[in-house]
Order: sequence, then structure tokens, then C-alpha cells
Amino acid sequence: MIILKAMINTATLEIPKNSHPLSSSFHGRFGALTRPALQLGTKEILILFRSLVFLVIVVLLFFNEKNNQAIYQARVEIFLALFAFSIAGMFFMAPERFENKGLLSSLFVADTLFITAGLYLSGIRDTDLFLIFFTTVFISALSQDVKSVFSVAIVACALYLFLQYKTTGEFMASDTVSLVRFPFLFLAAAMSGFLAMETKKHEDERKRLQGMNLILAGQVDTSILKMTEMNRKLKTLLEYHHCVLSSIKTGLVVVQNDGKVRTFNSGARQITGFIEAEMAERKLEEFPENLRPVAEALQRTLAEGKTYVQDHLDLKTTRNESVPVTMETSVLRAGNGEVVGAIATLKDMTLLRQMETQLIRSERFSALGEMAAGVAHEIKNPLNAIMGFSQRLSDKLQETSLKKYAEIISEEVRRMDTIVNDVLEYSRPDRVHKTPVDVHQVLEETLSFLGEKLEKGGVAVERSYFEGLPPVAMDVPKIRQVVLNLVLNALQAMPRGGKLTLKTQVIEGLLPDAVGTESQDALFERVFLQQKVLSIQVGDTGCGIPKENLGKLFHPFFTTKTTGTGLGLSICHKIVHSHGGSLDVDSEVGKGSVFIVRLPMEDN
Amino acid sequence: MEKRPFTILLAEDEAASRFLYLEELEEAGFHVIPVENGLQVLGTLEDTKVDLLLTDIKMPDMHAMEMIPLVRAEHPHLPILVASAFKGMEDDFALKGFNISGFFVKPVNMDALKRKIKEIAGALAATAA
Repeated sequence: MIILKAMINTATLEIPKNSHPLSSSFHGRFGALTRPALQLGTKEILILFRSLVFLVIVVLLFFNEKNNQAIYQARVEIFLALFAFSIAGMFFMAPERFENKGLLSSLFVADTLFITAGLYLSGIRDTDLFLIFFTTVFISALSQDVKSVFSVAIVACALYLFLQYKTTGEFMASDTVSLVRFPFLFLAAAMSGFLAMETKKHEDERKRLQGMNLILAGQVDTSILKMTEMNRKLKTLLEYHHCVLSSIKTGLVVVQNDGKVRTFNSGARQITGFIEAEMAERKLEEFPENLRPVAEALQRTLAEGKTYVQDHLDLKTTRNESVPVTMETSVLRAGNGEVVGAIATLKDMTLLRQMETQLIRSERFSALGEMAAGVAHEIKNPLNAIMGFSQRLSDKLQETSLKKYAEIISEEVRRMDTIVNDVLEYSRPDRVHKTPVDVHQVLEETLSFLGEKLEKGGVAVERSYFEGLPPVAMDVPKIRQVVLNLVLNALQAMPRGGKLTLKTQVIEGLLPDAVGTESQDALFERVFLQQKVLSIQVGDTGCGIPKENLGKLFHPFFTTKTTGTGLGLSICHKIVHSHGGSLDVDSEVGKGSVFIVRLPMEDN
Repeated sequence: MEKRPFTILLAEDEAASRFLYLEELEEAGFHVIPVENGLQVLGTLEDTKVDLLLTDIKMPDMHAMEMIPLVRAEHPHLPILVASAFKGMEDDFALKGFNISGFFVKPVNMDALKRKIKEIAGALAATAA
């Protein structure tokens, strides 16, 4: 029976399964180290075997042919009821109680006494009944203690001898067969005791392994948790780096030692127009023609291990536009200092170049403006006298030819005055008084003012107005002057008629954050802000402006016309700038020009 | 008592312009006292009764922006006309509250100037009568 129990327990022994950390973690995570589906505890086995003993006794008592001594019947039943009651009582005892060796030993001794008493009471003297003591010896092995097994065996022998004495009147029975049984009983006790101890050893080992398994599983679990946490951190870090790379405006091209592109960030895409997908894994020698300068610099850096800076590099984009960039290449080193590639950074210098140009222009303008204002004022005073006297002459002279001369003087003086006024207008400090206004209304007023001129000139007007345009704050007379000037220019560019286009748009754009008087210092401190911008475009289908003149267009006194002061566009430029806006031109010879006024849409 | 002619104090540092105003205004029947700068204006106003001050802005010794407040302190109702090459000054005068009767940009339209003076003279005569 003990062997059976040992077999059951061995079969259900928890075999350490943590050869794979994940599976162990899985068990550990859910706190469910596999338990045996059916494990018979000492309690259950004890109940089972005592029930068997009970059955055997019942069978022996009631079905034995020699059992015909009715006088014992009543007492036997009481005895059996007591035995059954003790078995039933075990059901209600806690399983832990059965781990107590003292209790078990006394139970086995009591059982042995019980059986003996039962046999004695039943009056059965069959020597075969000796076998039942083997059962108690086996059961006592449940205590997993040799001592208790032997004590049961001794008690059993003593009781048997007592039974013999009671029956035969002498301790040593005449038949030697009975005496031979004793060594067998002890042999069985020794064997079952030994087996019980072995089982106990196995059981202890199993428990130890199970404990170790639990510890190991716990450790693996902790490691897995740490790894998951590290994985998460690593992922966050990777994401962070990716975000940094894709958010910076600086273009970044990284190649490995083998010359293959490892990184081509969105900054590089924005500057060059090439996308990461087509650049990834591309070798330096396979770089597109437009990016040859980048490839060459990287090649050199890889070969020589040196940093190169190219300040005034013009890169061609995919749209074949030229972008001024500053390129710097450097060696990419791993943590151990080993060279693993090369990096090229590309900085878009468009804005800076624009600012430089503006600064130069503004310096030139302010010096010129100051001088012009002084000169203009000094001219005005003599003009005042010349004009007055020439008019007096023409009033007083009777002779028509002389009168005509005086009138010519007056007329020419008036022209000079116009020029001087333009210069003064241009050099005057700006005072911008902004009021919110419907821009479309300003445009329409200008168009109706020039209605006759447009019609005579054979110019058709095409409007493309932004729907739902809110009122925009501006100095209305000044902006009206700008629009008038631009429309007049457009008309002059189309002497044989054409199409005048007026377009308004609301865009997100960069505008200098400077309003009011534009000093040199202010230009240095300018911040270009991404903001909501109103764009007014005045387009014509006229002669267009040659490329070489585009840069000079807003310079004061620059003109290609036979009449005019050459100040019109510079005044427009100045007015728009004093609004914190910008004035640009896009033109193609023979096709026409578009002037673009961009004004900030402030929230006021 | 003989009727005193409408007297104009003319301040203009440029000789040619001064001569022009003098010719035009005297011809129109006004009595003109020509002076060359702000200090002379203040000196003249001390001992002479004038009906109108016509002045340039940029003059040596005293700028009109300094002179006019001093004049206003003594003669709060004296009509003042300003003629200047600086068109932008018009706003300044309006903003400063000098109570200027008129602003003319050089080269001055003589007809307009004479019309304005006659208008002021007419108003003055009406008040006197």
C-alpha cells in the first residue's frame, strides 16, 4: 500500500519545468505552479485502509464458517460500531493533524489492539488471521517512521502471543508455523519502514525541488519584469530619438562605413525633396546627381576621418530649385571610439540669406533715406520761390511766347516737386495706424477708381477672393496706396491689354515679427514667426521682369520706365514692412509677374 | 480814425521765398512785416499789433515748434498759418493742439494761401463790426 502511495506521489511529483523562462514566467505570473490533479494525503489513505481493515474484520466475523458463537454477537457489533465511528471521525479532522507522528503511532497501536480485541471477541482462532497484522504494519508505515512500524510489529507479536495463550493456554504454540510468522512480520515491518523512509526522502526532495522551483520561477519572473520594463524604456528611447531626428529642421544624412545610407531624416527631405524611402540603404556612389556634393563630402570624411564645413553650398532640390545650405560632415564614432560611419548635417540658409539681403538693403535704405530727406527739404525751399515767381511771371506777362516759357518753368518745377515728395514719403518715419478692414472692399475701391483706365487699356479683371475672409487690421490709406501702385504697375506692364488677377488667401507662413519703424537693431532682433498670414496677389500677363532686375526691384530710384521716380515699389515695400509683412515678386519674362503682399493677421 | 490795414507778420528765413510772399501779399492789399526768424517774431509781437502770423517751420535761432507755444502764451487767439517743406509736420501741429488756422506745403499754392488769409480777414472784420 505504501508503495502504491509512493507511486501515486511520484507520478504527481512536480517536475521542474523552467527550462524555458517564458513558460515558467507564465506559471509564476499567474501564481499557478501546477498542482497534482489527484493527491492522496495521509488522511485519505488512512481512512481508505482502515475502512479496508474494517471490511476484512466484518467479512471474517460474519462470513467465517467457524463463527457460530452467538454469545459474542452483541459485543462484536458494539466493537464494530466503535471502529466505524473512529473512521468516520477522521473525516472531520484537519489533514495537518495526520502529519503528527505521535498521533499516528498511537493510532496504529490502538488499531492493532482493536483488531486483536476484535479477533479475540469473535473467538476466531484461525492462525491465518495473523495476516491481518501485516496490514496494520503496512498502514503504520504511513507514518513514514521505522520506529513506529517496529513498535506496531512488536505490539502485534505480543498480542498474537497473548491470543495464543488465551486460546491454547501456552505462549509458544506447538505448531512451529506460527512462530515462523514472527520474523516475517518483522521483515515486512523493516521493508515497509525502509520503503516509507525512502518515500519520505523522495517526498522531502520533491518538496525541496518544488520550493526551489518556486524561488527560481520568482527570480525568472522578476527578470522578465525587468526585461519588459527595459524593453519599454528602450522603446520609449528609440521613439524619442526618432522624434528628435524627425523634428529638427536640420537635415541629417548618416552613412555607415560601407557607404550605405542609414539615416535620412525629414529635415533632409524638406531641404532636398528626396524622401527617406528612396535614400535608405543607398550607397554613396548611387546618390542622385543633385546630392553629389553631399555624397562627396561624406566620402571624404569617411576616407580621411576629418570634419568638413561648406558654408555657401547651393543644393538643387528634386524640383530643381536652388537652396542655399551650410553643410558640415563629421565622423560617426561608436561608444568604443571606433569609426562606424559619417554624418552630414544640412542647414537651410534661405531665411538667413534673406535676412542678410534685407539687412544690406535696410542699411542702404536708411542711409539713403536720411540723405534724401535732407536734400529734399533743401530743394523744397528754392522750389517754393521758383514756382511762385514763375507763376507770377506767367500771370503778369502779356506776350504769349514768354508766358509759355514761364508756364514751362512752373510745370517742370511741379515735376521736381513730385519727385521730392516721393523721396520724402519714402524717407519719412512710418506711422502705422491700423484699423480692421474688409480687404476685398479696398481692392474693389481701387478697381473702381481705375475702372476707366482698365477698360481703355483692354485689361480684363479676374478675381479669386478667399471666402469668409475676416477683417484684417491695417493702415487703410497706406495699403490702398500699395494696391493702387501694384495695379498701376500691372497696367503699365500690359500696354496692349491682358488679364489682371487679384487673389486673396489665408495661409500659414513665416513673417518677421517687427512692426513699426525698422531700425538696423530691430532687424537683428527680428524673430520670424509662423503665423496666420493674409496674402494679396496682384498678377498681370505683361512683359515680365528679367531675372537680373528682380533683386533690384525694390531698391529706391530703380526704374525701367521713362517716367516715374523709381520710388513707387520701394515705398510699397516700406509700407508693407512697417505692417510687419513682406512684399515679393514672382515673374517670368514674356508671361507676366505676380506681386505678393503678405500681411500678418493679428487678433485685434 | 483811419482804418488800419490787415497786418501780417511773415517769418521766413529764405530771402527768395520771403520776397515772393511779400510781393504776393502786398499786391493783395495786406500789410506785411517780414522777419527772418523766431526771435524776431517774438520781438515784433511785443510792440506791434498784428492780425496774422505766417511762418516757416525750420528757421535759424528758433524753430517754429518752440516759437509757437511762446506766441500762444501771449496771444491765444492770433491766427497762425504754417508753410513748410515737411508735409509730415501737418500731423504734428494738429496733434500738439497749437490751434493752427492752416498748413501749407511748399511749394505753396499762392492763390490758396491768399484765399485763406482773406477768409480770416473777413471773419475778423465781421467780429469787429
